[in-house]
Amino acid sequence: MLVVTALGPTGCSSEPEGCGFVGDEAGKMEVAYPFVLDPGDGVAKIIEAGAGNPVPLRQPVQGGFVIYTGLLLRNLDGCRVTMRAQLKDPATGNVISNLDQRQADLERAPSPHDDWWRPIDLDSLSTVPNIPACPDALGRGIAGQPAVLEITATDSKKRTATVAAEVLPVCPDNELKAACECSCGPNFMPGQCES
Amino acid sequence: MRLTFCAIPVAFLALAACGDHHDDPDMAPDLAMTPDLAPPTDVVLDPPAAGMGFQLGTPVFDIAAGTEKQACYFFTVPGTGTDPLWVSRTVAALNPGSHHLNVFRVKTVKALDGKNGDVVEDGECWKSGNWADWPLVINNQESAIGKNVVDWQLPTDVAHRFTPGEKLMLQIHYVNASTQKTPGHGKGIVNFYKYAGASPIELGTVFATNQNIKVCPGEAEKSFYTTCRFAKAGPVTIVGANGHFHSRGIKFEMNLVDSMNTTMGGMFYTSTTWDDPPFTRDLALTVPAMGGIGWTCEYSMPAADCGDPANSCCATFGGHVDTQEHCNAFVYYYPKSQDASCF
Repeated sequence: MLVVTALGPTGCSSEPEGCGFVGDEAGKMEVAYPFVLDPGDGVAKIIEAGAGNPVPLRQPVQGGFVIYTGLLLRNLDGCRVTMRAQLKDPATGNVISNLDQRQADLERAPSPHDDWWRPIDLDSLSTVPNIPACPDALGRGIAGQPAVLEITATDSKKRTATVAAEVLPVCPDNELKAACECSCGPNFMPGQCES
Repeated sequence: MRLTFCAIPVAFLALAACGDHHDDPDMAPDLAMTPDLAPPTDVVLDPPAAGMGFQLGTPVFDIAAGTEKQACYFFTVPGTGTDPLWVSRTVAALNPGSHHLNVFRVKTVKALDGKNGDVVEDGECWKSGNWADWPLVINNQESAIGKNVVDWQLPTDVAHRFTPGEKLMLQIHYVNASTQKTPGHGKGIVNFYKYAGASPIELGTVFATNQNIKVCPGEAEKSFYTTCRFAKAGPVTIVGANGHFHSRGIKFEMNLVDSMNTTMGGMFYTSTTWDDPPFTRDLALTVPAMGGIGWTCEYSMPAADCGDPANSCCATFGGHVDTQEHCNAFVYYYPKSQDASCF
């Protein structure tokens, strides 16, 4: 006897958890909320972004300061989802950072958000956009300035969703604070900061 | 390990003399390279004539089988006084097998430093955070036999600006392991030829790197895209570009972006040859004010391959060719607004 199982919100049974359709195929792509990662000591802490909340500027290995960001999603093909992110000026709408775009498969988010999906391997920081915020070659200044975090997700079937969240990029409160405030401040020039 | 090398004349300049060498065939460098011998002979490049510029270079060195070597050589720009030295032509020559040669202006010093003539081999020369804010001067990756000399005459009146006494660092990387081989020795030389005109327009450079990349066995056509906007003071013109990644890289592309990070036009640079990427030097691309470039690195890694055994065989950001990956863009433009680095 042939048994046909309808695909439910848990995704295609032949695919790894999360990779395959996730959520309601008849529904529009939905976003629970945008988040920002604080890498910490190899375990990324998830911070909900919005309402002007502080979001951390963090230094990758070669230098500069970036914002690691992503989305909690559902109702999309969870394989090779493309996410792109940048910062905008809340007053003018002008773009104030560089843009980063990368692809990732999704996995189910842990409770209490387990009816949503997020990029796999968050701790690697490689599966979510790394917004290159500083040094700010255009000289506006990022740190301590309100900004709009804009993130777009697109799946393989061209379903897409864009969210914008007000955030406040802030420098780390550690030995990198001065370097961050300098290279993420206005009128940055190479060599003027202890990077 | 820090060494001091004194055996070769690495820096040379006589500022008293001057003249226009651009159309003088006698000023062409003496290139002595025998392309068909194995192992190849070491590259030779006569320095500019007295008063016509200066030369930076490394001695010949060995790269043991199964290893890679990265060395950082420190120099000061010759001359005295405060008048700038303008350079409108560079010639970079590399022994075959080089992975890269980069020249940077030394800015913030962390754990990597040296006096004129010093070299730091491996160690701190691998740690990219040490030169995080050191602006790019030039780079070269073309070292295939018979194509290992890059002679770049900048557009009319466009020139690098140097200050006498300014500290430079020449970084050279050779690999003689599984993904890349060096058939002979390591060696690199760069000649800087003085600009002879009266109204130089300063060349600007961009070094852009995409960090936190990760490619794992079995992944195919995985791409990372980032923008780097640098046209702070108004429109600029891009004159040269090249891209850099390692053996999992299958396509490197660059495009222009406007002030909103929106792509403009098609790709102006494409490389599908990770170990001998082209250096495009005939560009004349207008970047609008507050615009810049976007660059894409696309990777594939066969399921049976292994990058870093300590990281589930994935390759993540770093300079070691056999185990790590890069996604770096090098761009040259004028007029300079400021040297730009995008991380």
